Amino acid sequence: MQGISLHAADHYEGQKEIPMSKKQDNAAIFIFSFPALLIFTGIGVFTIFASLYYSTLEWNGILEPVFVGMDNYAKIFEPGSIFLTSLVNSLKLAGISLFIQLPVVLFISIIISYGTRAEKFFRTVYFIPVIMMTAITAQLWLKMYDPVHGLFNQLLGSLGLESLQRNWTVDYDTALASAIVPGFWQWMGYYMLILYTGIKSISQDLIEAAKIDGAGLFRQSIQIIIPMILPAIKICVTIMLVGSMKAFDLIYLITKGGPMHVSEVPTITMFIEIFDKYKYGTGSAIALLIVISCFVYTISINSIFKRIDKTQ
Amino acid sequence: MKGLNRIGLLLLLLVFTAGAVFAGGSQEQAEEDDQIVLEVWHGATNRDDPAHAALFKVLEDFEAMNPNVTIVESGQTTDNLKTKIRAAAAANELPDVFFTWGYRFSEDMGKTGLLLDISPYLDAELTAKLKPGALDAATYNGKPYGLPDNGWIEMIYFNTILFDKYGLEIPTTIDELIAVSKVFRENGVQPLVVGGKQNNTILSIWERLSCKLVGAEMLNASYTDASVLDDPRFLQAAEIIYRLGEEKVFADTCYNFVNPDAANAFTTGTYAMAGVNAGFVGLFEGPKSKIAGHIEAVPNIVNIDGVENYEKDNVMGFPGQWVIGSRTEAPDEAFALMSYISQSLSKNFFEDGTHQIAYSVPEWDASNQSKLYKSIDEMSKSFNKLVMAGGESRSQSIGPDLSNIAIALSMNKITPEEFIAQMKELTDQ
Repeated sequence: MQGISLHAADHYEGQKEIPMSKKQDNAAIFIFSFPALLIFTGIGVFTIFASLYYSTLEWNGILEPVFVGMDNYAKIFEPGSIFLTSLVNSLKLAGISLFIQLPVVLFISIIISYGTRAEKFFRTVYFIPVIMMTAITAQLWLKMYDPVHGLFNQLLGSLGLESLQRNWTVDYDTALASAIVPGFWQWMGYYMLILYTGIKSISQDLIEAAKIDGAGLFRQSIQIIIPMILPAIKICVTIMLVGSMKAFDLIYLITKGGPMHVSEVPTITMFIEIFDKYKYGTGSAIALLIVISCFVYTISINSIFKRIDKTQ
Repeated sequence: MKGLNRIGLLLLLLVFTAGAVFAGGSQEQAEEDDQIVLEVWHGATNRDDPAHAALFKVLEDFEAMNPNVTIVESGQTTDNLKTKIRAAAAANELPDVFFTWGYRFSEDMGKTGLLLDISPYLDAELTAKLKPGALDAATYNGKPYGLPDNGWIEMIYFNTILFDKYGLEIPTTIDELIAVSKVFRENGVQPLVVGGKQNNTILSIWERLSCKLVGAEMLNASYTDASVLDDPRFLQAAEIIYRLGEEKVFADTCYNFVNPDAANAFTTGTYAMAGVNAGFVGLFEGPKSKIAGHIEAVPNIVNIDGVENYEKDNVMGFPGQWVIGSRTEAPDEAFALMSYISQSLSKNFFEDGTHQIAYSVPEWDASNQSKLYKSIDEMSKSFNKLVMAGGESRSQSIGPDLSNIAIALSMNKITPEEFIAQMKELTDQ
């Protein structure tokens, strides 16, 4: 293995390359990666193992903990448990992200990249929600959902559709959707920017050649753009799926997981177990399951995209 | 070799930077050595509410009177403050002085030494001012840990402007409450606003109805003994909640609000009735209220038709307590602050007529109290048996689930029978 050159200027003509020994090489790697490794171990790995330990306890955070083994895991997987309801909700969220949000974002990204003159304007407009604080986004949507003065009910009323008016965040049938939609709206610009960047990195020669061959925007999208931006799509899919397990703030602010857990997702169940019910054991077990699910999602996505890559 | 030299230089730079940072810190520390910093956590978040504004003034006054003390304060709404306290207790990082809830909520903290036993500080002068039972909420194993903030009574308030406008009488029974709600609904007025999004609110309405039906003692017994819930009168209370939901007595927005939201909404004059505690009287009678001077109130809840009502029994107590974290480095100053907050706030509450208080000091001036405050104060004197709400008296681990089933009952998503069955199951846990 060649020694790593630490000198950017080494490549300039007339300068000598100063090779480093393997030992020096390793020392440099260790010194530079040590702080990050320390932080990651301290914050990430340690807390995961700490959660594993706490998940085997029955503990209210103050009194003496009691070791209960795997009982907490058995409890959260009992038929009809709140955790199972929240898990199903997170799967719904993942499904909606993947099968509705991603295609919409992809469509908008392609249109903005190639189909509109006001490219910069739309790019900025779609990105504005991303830079808004979550609390503000939640307030904005809560105002629109207000059953008496909210935009949605007022609009339905003015259209003579009073029968469709409802208390969006409280109604059993709409609570989950009303908690998900603001996140869908807020993060659309983020995914759009990832895909847009991918699209912009495609060589214009390819696009021009396709145009000369008579391909319209749809055919260009299917045969050139989408295959070329697969790495960007992979990033979006990973963030969406992992995000569906980690979603918390907006849903908590809008519905708090209610009513009767219909809009609860695993992070909210975990939060309520630990901070409202003071059940640190079951809360930690849920936390650990969330981490494991995120790992499983990431590994699965990597393997699926590897297969897709090979088939191309 | 040069490569390593550069790494060495980088490390040296890091060391110098760290040194500069810590040197700055030490200098700052030296300047602050004589200053006592007291961290205070409280529930005041709305400066428009006179009760909240009073706390900020009390803290400022204490700092002015004690130049060697700096107060670092932090305010949260009820549920958030509860979360913050429990998380800090678990990490043994409770602040010097903080507002908490007595009874079951702070029991573990008191019993495990996370709170400071204040018995050495309680002198005869102070205890003589306190009403009987004022220290009970935060006394564990015979040791007092807290001084009271204010008394807590759940009330139903009536906006008399709207009642007069539609020619309605103030309801005295559940049937009448339902009847007036129907008239308000027909006229596009939202009837009863409560903070239904907050834990315990709807549950507490069921408890208040139960208190009317079974009395304070039996309700208290039901918090820990599930078999007590077999009494059919608890089911009857659940049936009333179900009916209130069915008849749309609760305002459309009630599940979107926590208690302060509900109270603020009531002051806009667009709601006919509000079901919040007596601590909001100051806000209702304050300068920003559109209905100040036009409010009537009944404690607990209106009577239930056709049965004997325990009218002298009430859901009331002094759950709000100021306590000291035992790890404080300045216990004397912390107690001085805690005692000052408790007494000054109570004096303020009494003289401004905003809250029921746990002190009885004849010298305090009652001339500014509103008619509404005086009427609530008079009513509270007629109670002879009191019980604390389940939110404070039941095990905290079942609180959110109980709140959820009460909400589901009021939304008619579960039947009264299912409610009682689930209630029993949870109480058994």
